[in-house]
Amino acid sequence: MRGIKKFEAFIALKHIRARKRQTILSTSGIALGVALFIVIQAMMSGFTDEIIDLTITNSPSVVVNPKDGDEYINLYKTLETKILSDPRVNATSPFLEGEAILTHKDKTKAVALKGVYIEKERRVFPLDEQTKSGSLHRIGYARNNIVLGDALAKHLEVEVGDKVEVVSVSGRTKEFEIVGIVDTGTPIDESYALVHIKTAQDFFGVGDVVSGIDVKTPYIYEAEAIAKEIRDETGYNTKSWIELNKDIFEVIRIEGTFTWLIGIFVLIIVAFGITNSFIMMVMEKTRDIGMLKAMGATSSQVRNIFLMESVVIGIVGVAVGNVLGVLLSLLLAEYPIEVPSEVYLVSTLPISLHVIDVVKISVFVLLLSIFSAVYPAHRASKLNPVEALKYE
Amino acid sequence: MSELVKVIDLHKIYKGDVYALRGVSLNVDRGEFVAIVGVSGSGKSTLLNIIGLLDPPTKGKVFLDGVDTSLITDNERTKIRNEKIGFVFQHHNLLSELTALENVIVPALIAGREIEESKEKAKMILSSMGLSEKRFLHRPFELSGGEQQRVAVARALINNPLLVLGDEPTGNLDSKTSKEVYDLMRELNREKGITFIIVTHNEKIASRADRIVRLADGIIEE
Repeated sequence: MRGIKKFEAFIALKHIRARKRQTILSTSGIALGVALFIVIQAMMSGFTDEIIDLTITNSPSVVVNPKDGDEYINLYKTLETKILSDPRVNATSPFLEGEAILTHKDKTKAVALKGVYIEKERRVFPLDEQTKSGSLHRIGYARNNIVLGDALAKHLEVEVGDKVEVVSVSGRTKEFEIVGIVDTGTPIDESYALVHIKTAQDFFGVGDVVSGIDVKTPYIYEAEAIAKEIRDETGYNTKSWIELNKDIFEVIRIEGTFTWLIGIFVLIIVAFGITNSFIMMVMEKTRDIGMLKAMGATSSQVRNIFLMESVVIGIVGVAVGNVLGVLLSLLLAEYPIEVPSEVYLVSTLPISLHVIDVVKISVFVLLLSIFSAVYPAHRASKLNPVEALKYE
Repeated sequence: MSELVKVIDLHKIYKGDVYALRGVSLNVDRGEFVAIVGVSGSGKSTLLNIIGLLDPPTKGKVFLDGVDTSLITDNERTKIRNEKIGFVFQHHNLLSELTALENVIVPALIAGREIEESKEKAKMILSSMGLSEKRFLHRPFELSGGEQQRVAVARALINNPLLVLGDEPTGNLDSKTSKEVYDLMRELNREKGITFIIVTHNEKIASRADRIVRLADGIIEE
């Protein structure tokens, strides 16, 4: 059966066995490149998944803001009822937010002081799970109770039971007692200060108004449509969680692109190494190629010998690289690397291995490995047998 | 005896107006043993390469087994080389990563034959050439010069060629081994009727051929 190309396979395998050092080097280069690419991609996917999860958890699905030119939403209860009439919406939480400065002893920090109905806020954000100490409910008990983010509390060096002084932009000062500390695991914690909505309204000297309504839907990919419908029907400004976190997703997209570029770059260097090794082999084997042609090997048979070698090296390299990459990823998932959460938002490097990524990387590398032998194989096939036989 | 090779008015001009052949005409009959002799640069190897369809002539024609080789495609010429011609060179040109036996079967594999079937045939040929069985699995560098050249001759014969072309086939061997290899080729010629065209500068060897063709400056000396 000529289809199996016995002659080409026979010579190709003999070359591979005889050139053990070069074969091992080329195969190892591919294997290491593939393994590295898989691990980097698993880290990137894990990081992306974690960030999206954190973002969805800690963002409202939609936020409703005042109409253009207005500072507040006045008839917010009517608006809430209207929003809740959409069956896709399962919770709303109106809030009044204003800038303030928190002081404790010699430590100060600017924050966005947020006044909420805690029962409603709990239905939009997983605050119960995120409460590190104290009790959120207590902000409803007294008008001078406040809940702080974990990072903010650390900065001010305070804990539950301590008192902080809050100064508004207009210069109003009030002392608050810390009744709870929340850890969302995101940078929000650095400026998170929560009080009861009535407390905030008094503190900022406004009536029964809010600066926005947070809306939650379990249908996260419907959020944009819901935001548009609210905007169209009520005239209030709205933003979905995707728009709210546009910068984060852009950074993730760019990082994803860079990951692939770095991986591709590493593998192209490996491919250059393979091309070089094949060119050297064609030079070393010039007389042999001349003899094969003299014995009746066609140009395409000679070309196929070298392409087959690259296929074998590519398949073995990709297979070994897959095993190495997957094992290393599983190992990193089992024993995660710790990273500073204030920089990376997560405390350990999350790993998420997607089969489709491994397949994409494998196909890409296999094609690259074959491609790296195309030029040397073409050069070998074009050798003139008479000149090749004279080659010293 | 019928004609196997017919060369008509062959010219070969290399780049820079180097005239290697200047109108060579030659007929070789089936079963003939022809020696082409001449000094270095006389055009012996060029003539052999053109007859072996390795190099095209600048002008002139080569008929092989009745086929005008100027009228066929490259692939057809390659097929003829594989099926009808065997080559033995001064440097044995055995593939270093293959054993003696594997080297012999290469032309058969190129022709698409099975490995095991080819190996059986190769063993018979190698044995008939006096190569001991224990040497079959040795690689070329483990064989003596004479053994290497016997393997090269065996490789030239595996596809039952009509014609074997030898370019100084004994040029790298000592006189004793040289005689042994030459005797072997002569025996094959007599017993199997294979046509041999041998290029040599060794007058002693050439004198034992059926016919001597003398080349000088690209033409045949009468």
